[in-house]
Amino acid sequence: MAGDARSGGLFEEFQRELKKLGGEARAVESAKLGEEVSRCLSGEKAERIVGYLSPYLAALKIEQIFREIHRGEVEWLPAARPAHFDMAAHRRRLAEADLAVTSADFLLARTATAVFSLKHHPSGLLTLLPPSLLVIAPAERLLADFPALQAIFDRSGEDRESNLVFFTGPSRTADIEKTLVLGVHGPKKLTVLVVDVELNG
Amino acid sequence: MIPRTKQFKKELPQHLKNRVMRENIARAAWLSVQKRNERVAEIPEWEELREKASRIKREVIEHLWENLDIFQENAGKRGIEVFRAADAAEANRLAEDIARKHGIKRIAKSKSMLTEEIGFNDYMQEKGLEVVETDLGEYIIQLAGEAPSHLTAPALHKSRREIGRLFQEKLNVPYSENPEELTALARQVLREKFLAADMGVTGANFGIIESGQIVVVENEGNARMCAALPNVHLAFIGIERLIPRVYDLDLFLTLLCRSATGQKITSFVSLINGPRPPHAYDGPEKVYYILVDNRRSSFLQDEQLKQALYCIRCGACYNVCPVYQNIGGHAYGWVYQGPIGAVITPQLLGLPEAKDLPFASSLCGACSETCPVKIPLHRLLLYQRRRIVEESLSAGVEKAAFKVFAALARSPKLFAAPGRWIGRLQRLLPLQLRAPGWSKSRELPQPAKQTFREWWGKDADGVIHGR
Repeated sequence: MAGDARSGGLFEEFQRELKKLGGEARAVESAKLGEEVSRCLSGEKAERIVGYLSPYLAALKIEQIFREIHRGEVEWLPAARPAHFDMAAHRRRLAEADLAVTSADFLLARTATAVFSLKHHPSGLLTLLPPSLLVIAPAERLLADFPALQAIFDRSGEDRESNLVFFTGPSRTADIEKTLVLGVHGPKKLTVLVVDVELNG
Repeated sequence: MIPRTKQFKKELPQHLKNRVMRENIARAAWLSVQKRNERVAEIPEWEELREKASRIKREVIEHLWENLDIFQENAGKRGIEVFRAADAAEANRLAEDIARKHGIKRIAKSKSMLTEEIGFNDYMQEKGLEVVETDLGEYIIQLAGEAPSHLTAPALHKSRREIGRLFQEKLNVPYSENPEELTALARQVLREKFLAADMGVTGANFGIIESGQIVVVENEGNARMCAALPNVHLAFIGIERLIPRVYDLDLFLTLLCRSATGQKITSFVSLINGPRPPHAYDGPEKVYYILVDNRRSSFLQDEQLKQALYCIRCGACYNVCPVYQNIGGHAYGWVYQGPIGAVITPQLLGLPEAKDLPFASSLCGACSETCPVKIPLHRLLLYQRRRIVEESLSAGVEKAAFKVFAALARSPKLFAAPGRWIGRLQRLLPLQLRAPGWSKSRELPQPAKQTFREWWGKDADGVIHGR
């Protein structure tokens, strides 16, 4: 599905829907990922960064990219969790981090939803605790909607019963006089970089 | 929560006099209806979706006990420990046992109507355990010592100024009425509560029969935190919350989110999967479900009321209800309010406890039109009224009056006679005495000079033909 001619249209829809919700999506070429990430970081206070080194991000050489553009420390959670692991410290670190970086399993254009499965993203808290979240996902993971996701699950036959999280736009509340406020418990800022979108025209 | 449903009629005037509350509620309900209508208009097949969802829920409810067994078995395969509670007392006792077993002291809790219904917070706090509500609206009303006034927006009745003063007093912070500042403050306070909590408690929007998972639908992220941050996660699930398949979520989320908050989908939809697998960095070590009946099974024995168990708790019927818009949620006196509350509360608490609620409706039918799973709410309200009358719970005077009316209405002659003199008599009485009680808040129209029968009997010349 890489280079699917439809990914351009889906991306535009994803971008439009996410913007309505207060998030931002950008199409980026893998060769220029460093520049784009650098631009994302420049606009915010992102001293403490925690990332999840998924096989996809590892293949993009994300560690190296961050070394080049970010002076501070970035803590990368390896894809395989180390046997000895201090969970309390991990929670505290995530709670104090400014930015989380991860990939998504799927993106659904119709609702601007990022789908994470615990099977492939072993830290559920990573996408939840830091106030800013940067998601990097390949264009081939961009689908139209939930039924399209079902078709993929039917082929793989196992994922649908996994611990799935559908994450759509920043955390929000309207509990005070129906006034919309972003970032009440989960991320206030959400940026999604979609890599190698086949743009129309 | 101790029901005040018996005082419904007596306390109504005091709710109607609360101008601030009424304005807040009316504005919020109107906004919600507008947003809901916009989102629904985007889906041309909305009616078919309602029909489909209603059918699915019917099938689930018709075979509820078998479905619960399958759900429980599948949850068990995931390493989730499942209990069943017959009533509120048993549900609380089971939760307490779980808390004691794990040495729990602090509980972080997300929004759940079921926990309000069973009085979970009060029970746990009496046993010396701290329970913190983490949904912003619920946190506000917990600080204020109040009860929720809406299904999805519990602090709907409070203005930003009231909330600002509440935070100033209870959290010892400078006064602000800026929702952004107030929310940031709550985030900070609650983040620490989350990190200190050793048990997270959530409700469940859906239980998936085929997989034993539960689904939590929310916008803030606090429910997911309750399920993922502390070492123990306990979910309370009403036995009627089941849906068959993971794939049914597309349908039910479309209906729920658009109806509840006018969103295509909420910020977070989480499928809870059970205890932390060995490869995971975080997540709870133990996951418990408590499946709560608390008189829900009594609905199953009644062909009509059964339909009330389809409810997915979106609150759309509250927003469109002209009675709710005017009296607000607290007036109903218990956890469930609006039209669905007026239907299910008399069943959950017993008819004598809530005999006035089904009468708090204009029967306009807006609720039935709006309900995403097609519960015929206004018909069920009528049905509950009939049961209340049949159980002789209505006022004696009213019953006597209807007996007289029934006798008169059976004979054309008897029916015609009073018409002639009642109108004339009415004109002689001072206005207030013509319909005591009724005319307190309404104006009684002047009776016509002649009755309909008199008019009908006249020919074009105005001559009355005797009968």
